[in-house]
Amino acid sequence: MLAYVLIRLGGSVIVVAVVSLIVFSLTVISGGDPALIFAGDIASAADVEAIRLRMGLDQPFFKRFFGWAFTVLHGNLGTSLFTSTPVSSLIRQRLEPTATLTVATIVTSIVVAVPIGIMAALRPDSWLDQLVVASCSVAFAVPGFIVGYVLIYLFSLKLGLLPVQGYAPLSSGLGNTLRTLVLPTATLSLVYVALLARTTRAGMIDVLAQDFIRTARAKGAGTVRIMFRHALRNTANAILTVVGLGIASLLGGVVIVETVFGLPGLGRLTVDAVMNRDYPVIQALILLAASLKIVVNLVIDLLYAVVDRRIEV
Amino acid sequence: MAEAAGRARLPVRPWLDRIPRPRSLPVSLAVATILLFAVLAVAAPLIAPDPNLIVPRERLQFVGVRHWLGTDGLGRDLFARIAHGGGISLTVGLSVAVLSSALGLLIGLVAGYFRTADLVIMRVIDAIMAIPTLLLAVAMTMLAEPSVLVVVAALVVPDVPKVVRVIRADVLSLRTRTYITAAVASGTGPAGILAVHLLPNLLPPLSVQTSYICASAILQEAGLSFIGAGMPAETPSWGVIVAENRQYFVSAPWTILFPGMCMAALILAVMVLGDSLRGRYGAGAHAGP
Repeated sequence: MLAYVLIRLGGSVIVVAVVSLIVFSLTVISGGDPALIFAGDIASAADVEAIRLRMGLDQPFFKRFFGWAFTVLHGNLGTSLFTSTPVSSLIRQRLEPTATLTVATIVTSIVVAVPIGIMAALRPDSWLDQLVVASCSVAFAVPGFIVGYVLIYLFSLKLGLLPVQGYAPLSSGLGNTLRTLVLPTATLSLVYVALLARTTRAGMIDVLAQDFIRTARAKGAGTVRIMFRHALRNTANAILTVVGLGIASLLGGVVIVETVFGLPGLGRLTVDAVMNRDYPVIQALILLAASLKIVVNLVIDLLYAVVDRRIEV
Repeated sequence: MAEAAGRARLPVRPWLDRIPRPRSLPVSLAVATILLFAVLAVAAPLIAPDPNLIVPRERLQFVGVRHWLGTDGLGRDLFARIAHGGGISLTVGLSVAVLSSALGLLIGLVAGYFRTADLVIMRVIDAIMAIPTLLLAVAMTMLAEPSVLVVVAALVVPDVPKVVRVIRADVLSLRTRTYITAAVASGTGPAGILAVHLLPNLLPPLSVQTSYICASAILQEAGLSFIGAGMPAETPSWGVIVAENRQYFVSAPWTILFPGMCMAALILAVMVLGDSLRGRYGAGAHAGP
């Protein structure tokens, strides 16, 4: 087990290193001349040259890369060009809405999608199954911002049940936070419900066709026992993978949903950074999202070994 | 039987028989939808006003004779803008699908066949795949002035790794087949193996993925343009149209719903094509969108 963990960990470290290299290269390409930007408008050519030397910009690419990686590892993600505050504190300020939205979306998706997938798999090709498959395709095709605006129109403007936009922090009470999260969560969940339901359905149909299920049935196990004790357990791997993928790619999905619902989270931070051409912020967000995805993948790989004993570790 | 009889009477048109004909209603509808948007994009200048013509007097009108799909907040004709936007969506979707499939195919073949190159290539692929598509695309569009070309490039980079993964896995499984061993034994070089023996077996499953990439590229372009990181602000891309009309959403919901419905219809149509290809080539049952 330890050897397996170490090998997977080593692989992850390499991928993080390559991601950092990509992100750093983007800085270099995005260029402008950092020394010129830092020096401001009234600096003379000699001043700029001095600053360039001081910032180490005359150093070779890889030397600068390792210098930069060193500061990142110490938690210094750079300074926002627009607000002149450290990017790490910007991210900390914006973390809560995105974190609560992500958790709410993952929980909702699992709770809604897994039963749908199981019901569809019980009778493949029945009308219910076909309805589920067709709905999943439609859910993939409708853009998130359209879903969001339609939900706001119906539930906030016409029925007046929920707030139109904005976010109530957890410190104002969990109930208030949840009220502001209902519509964003519904919007963001739609795609993940579709993805997860489809995965659950495909996995269950696959497993249910296997011999050990027939054996279990022959031994007199009821449908419920077969579904949960035998089939779902063997589909858990696939479901876990999709949940993991979901957590990781949610950081991309929140960009649009937070814009529609005016949530002051990391997605909104991304859009603001695009508007202000604030490159350090984008880089930090990429680094953060990629690291999160790599860590989640690692955890899921290790969870596999726990859920599915056939994986030798 | 009728079909066989027809063939007996008209034996000399093999090329016509080779054109794949839609076999089901959903596929026919999908093809019709895609063609409709293509025709609209081409014909828009002839049947609709200039998409960028601002007529403040006629702002926020609902569906009518003068403006088929109403007007937006600046009094521009929505039908013209949406028809034009369909052309942009199709261009971006097709370009991204074709380019990322071609690049992914090439890199995947190399990675699957040459084991040393694989070590380096797959680390880079893993790294790119670790970055959420939208974030990577945003970072890339910010490097240059907004244009169709930049958006296509920004969407190709995150999509290539998805193709590489699938192609590489297929090559790894195909290269152990007996006929490859036989080809190697009879003196065929790597280039011959790749081009003659592997490529034809990789294309059918690749076509499934290409269509899903096309659908997701259309969606991503709309998303990028919606947050202001895609098409230039004055271009009538569907994402831009929705972003422009957000403020009128309460008084004129159609300004957002019409482009949204078109987007959903086009993406669904492309995905239905992908599903039907997947049904035909069975083995290509890998990645969904």
